Amino acid sequence: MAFSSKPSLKKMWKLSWMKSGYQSEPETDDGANNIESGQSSPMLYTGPSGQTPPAVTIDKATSEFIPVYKGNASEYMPTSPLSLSQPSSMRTFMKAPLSQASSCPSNRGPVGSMPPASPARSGMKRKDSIVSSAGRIADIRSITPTDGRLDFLTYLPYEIAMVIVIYADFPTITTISQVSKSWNRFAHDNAVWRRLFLQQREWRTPRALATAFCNSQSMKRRAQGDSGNSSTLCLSPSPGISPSASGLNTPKVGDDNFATPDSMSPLTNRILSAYSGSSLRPAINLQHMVAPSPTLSMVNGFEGQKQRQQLLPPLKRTVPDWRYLFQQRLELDRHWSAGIADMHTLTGHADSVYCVQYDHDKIVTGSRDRTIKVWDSSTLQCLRTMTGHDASVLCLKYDDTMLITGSSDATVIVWDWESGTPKLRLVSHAAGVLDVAFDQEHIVSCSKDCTIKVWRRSDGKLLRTMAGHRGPVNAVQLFNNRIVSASGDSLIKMWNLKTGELIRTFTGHARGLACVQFDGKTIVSGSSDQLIKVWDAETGECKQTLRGHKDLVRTLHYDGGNRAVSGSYDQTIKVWDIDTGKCTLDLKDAHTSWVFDVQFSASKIVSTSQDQKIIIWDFAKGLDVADIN
Amino acid sequence: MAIILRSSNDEDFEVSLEVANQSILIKNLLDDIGTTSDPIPLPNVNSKVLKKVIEYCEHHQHDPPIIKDEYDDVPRRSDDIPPWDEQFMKVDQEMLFEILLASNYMDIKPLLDLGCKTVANMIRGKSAEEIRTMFNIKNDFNEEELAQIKRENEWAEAH
Amino acid sequence: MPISEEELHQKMAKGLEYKQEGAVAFKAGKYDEALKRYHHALLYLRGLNDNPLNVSKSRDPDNLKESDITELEKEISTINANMALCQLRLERFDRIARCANEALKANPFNKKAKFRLAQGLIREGSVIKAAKLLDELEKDSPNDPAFAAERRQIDIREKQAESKQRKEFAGMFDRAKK
Repeated sequence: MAFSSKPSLKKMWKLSWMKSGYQSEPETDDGANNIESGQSSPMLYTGPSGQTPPAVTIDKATSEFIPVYKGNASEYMPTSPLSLSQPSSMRTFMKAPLSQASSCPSNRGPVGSMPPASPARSGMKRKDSIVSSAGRIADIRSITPTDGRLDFLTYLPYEIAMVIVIYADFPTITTISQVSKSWNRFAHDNAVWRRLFLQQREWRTPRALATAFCNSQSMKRRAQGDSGNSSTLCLSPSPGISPSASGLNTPKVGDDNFATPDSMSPLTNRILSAYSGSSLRPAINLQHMVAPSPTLSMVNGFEGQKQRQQLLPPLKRTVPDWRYLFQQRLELDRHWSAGIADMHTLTGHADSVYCVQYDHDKIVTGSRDRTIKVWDSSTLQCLRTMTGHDASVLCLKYDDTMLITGSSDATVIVWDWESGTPKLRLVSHAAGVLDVAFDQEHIVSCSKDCTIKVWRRSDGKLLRTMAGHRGPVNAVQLFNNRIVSASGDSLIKMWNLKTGELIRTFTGHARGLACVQFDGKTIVSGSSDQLIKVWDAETGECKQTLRGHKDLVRTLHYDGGNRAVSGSYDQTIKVWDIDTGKCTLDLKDAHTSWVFDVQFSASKIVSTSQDQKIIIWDFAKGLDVADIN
Repeated sequence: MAIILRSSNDEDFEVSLEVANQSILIKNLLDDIGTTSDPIPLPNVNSKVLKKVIEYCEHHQHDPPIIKDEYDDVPRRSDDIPPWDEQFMKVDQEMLFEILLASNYMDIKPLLDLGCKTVANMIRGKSAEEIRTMFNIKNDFNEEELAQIKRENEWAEAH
Repeated sequence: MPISEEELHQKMAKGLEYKQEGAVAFKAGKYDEALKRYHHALLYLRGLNDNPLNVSKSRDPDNLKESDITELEKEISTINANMALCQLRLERFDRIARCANEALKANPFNKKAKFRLAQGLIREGSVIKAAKLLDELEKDSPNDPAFAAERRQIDIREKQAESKQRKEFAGMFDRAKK
């Protein structure tokens, strides 16, 4: 490192710490020398007299003067010789100071010239009058008015300007891009678009967050010179990021398995493996994370794994183009509004299909034909049929490790995913089991026998029974140790999971309830009275009533955002905006009989019916949403 | 204990420790050095702005600490400015700009956020021309460039 | 606010002067004094804009290159890293990481600041994070004796934690015998 010695500053460069790069001495010269790379050391700055004004050329187009910087362009933008006015009122890099207002236009000569509003290292245009070393006066065409107006975005430190742009939010960015070239750069800034994307609450799917997190971190690392395995960075989606966009605790949440804290969801596992390019085992040393997803391994055997690997678009290694992703996601929203979707029909069950749950890989359905079928999401082939119940399969829920089903045979079966055979059978109900839910430690079932039962997940032991409903309990939800149940007695009840005590009752429906959804804050219920009601879970108040169905509302899905989807005996499926209470999409003439179950995710709706069909509505038709959906 | 803050133009302002600690820059200094009766020089804030900043800190000195948002680097709402803050920010553009820079310099995040939200609110909903007028910005696009930009934005416009 | 070049240079000079004084005080073992100087250096150097060119370049914080960091930022980063060292000497363990993080905020490429951060984390108890940082740093400068020293620190602290736990549970089973 070459440094010239300056009389007022002694350089101290110690070499005495025995070859450690991390000397236990404070840095003295680091950076100091770089500062001196300009014409004169700032430390020796004695005054303007030592400075020569930069040479100036004329911009042919505008006749404005452009200074020319010699050699190593100084970091401190040289200005013309300084004004005699007080330093505090001299605003070199900005418009002419207010105090100079009246004198500005008439300023000639080096002394009074005020460099203008838009400096740049090259091609700088001075807006006000400048006297070049040749003594000419420039065109005052765009004299900066001195009425206090300021081009903020151009002059603020970048980080602050970016915050302003993002607060101004999405539609404004298009206006911003048209204001000036300087403002336009924000509209092309990937960091801005990434934040604009994440600003949309409904778009924060686990996959989108993983993409955002992974890429941001990996770029940071790469920039810091760490050429390490970028896949080491993709662990964190679990801790900091809520596993599902809504935080719903029950597995039936959008298209990704709910990541239980001590296991990596198949999704994240897949992200890891796709990112590292290998098959299921990520290249990094993370034994506890690596256990291949039981769902993938059991279903197909080796062939299937490979096939699935190809079918799933891998996460890109490079930083995604967030503007592009934003565009795609916006278009996806438009498809939902306009009802633009590909429709696929799965057939195979021999009777009514009562229940469904799906994720990125597979669709799982239960039927009156007593079987459970697992279908491949991409090829739509039926991969496996599971038997074990003695009567119709009425309900099902699954996560990474467990599948549970309830049946008209009054039992709940806990299945082993690997083998596809029953592991535990929970026997206690006196009539058909109409719905099931579970969390880390418990399984909850509700039945035609008007009771709700809580079982221990690990061994199936019955922990308690809650009797209180006066009719069949048709649906149950579990979140944060609270159970919400909906019954034919037209009531919704909230219970404490651990003690079994009743917390509150929600009244309002005129007839029996068929379905309910609960995310901790909000309850959505569907009833035989053809209405859907939205409730505040804490206060018990009914906040919204959604009208439109012409028959019993048999099934609902709500993900905690602004969208709910319902299926009815009127054979239609309707999409609702919770805030406005309006029906935004009506899917009819698809099912030819009662709709029994429905689930949706960012780009799909899947529904099942008495007509034995499973229909998939894919709104991502023609779009590229693999990274964010 | 009174803390003395000295502006760039050598004007001294006396504030309480609690007020001074709203500025993380000053808080760290006081933490390390101990509270002192020596004036703390703030060479990059002039008295006019410092006065304003102190006014803000005095008003907000008893505010509860802000809970960090999960997506902290993704600011969202800007329509939730309390009335006092809104009135406080009714200043000319130069002062607004100075407040932004001063709050960044002194590391007073709530004030910085307030400033950013205020500017964002000024921009939102306006046309490009209105923005140019508001901030005195020269339109340095030619017709063809503007047309190109409009084409690029079509997907957003149809929203 | 943007200022005249003269003023800019004056402030930079003042700030760097304080920085030098800080180094002098440090060498004399007067760490408190050094901190004071460094704080004053920051008061002068923060908020200065030595790169009005951010006008033409946008700085994607997710995609930063080392060449994007301005000289001023590097200086500020160095000062903060030095402050972290002072805190280390003064055994104000909870403050080392704070200063180191400020240093990294100004210049994410400052390896010494990263090292200070590791040192701070160790002394705060976050040994796992610290170990990770050390690993990263060691990739670029293998066999630097400083790393071994820090790893020894980690060991010491882990042993301390272990013996503390043992003391807490000592005699638990003896009581039962009674």
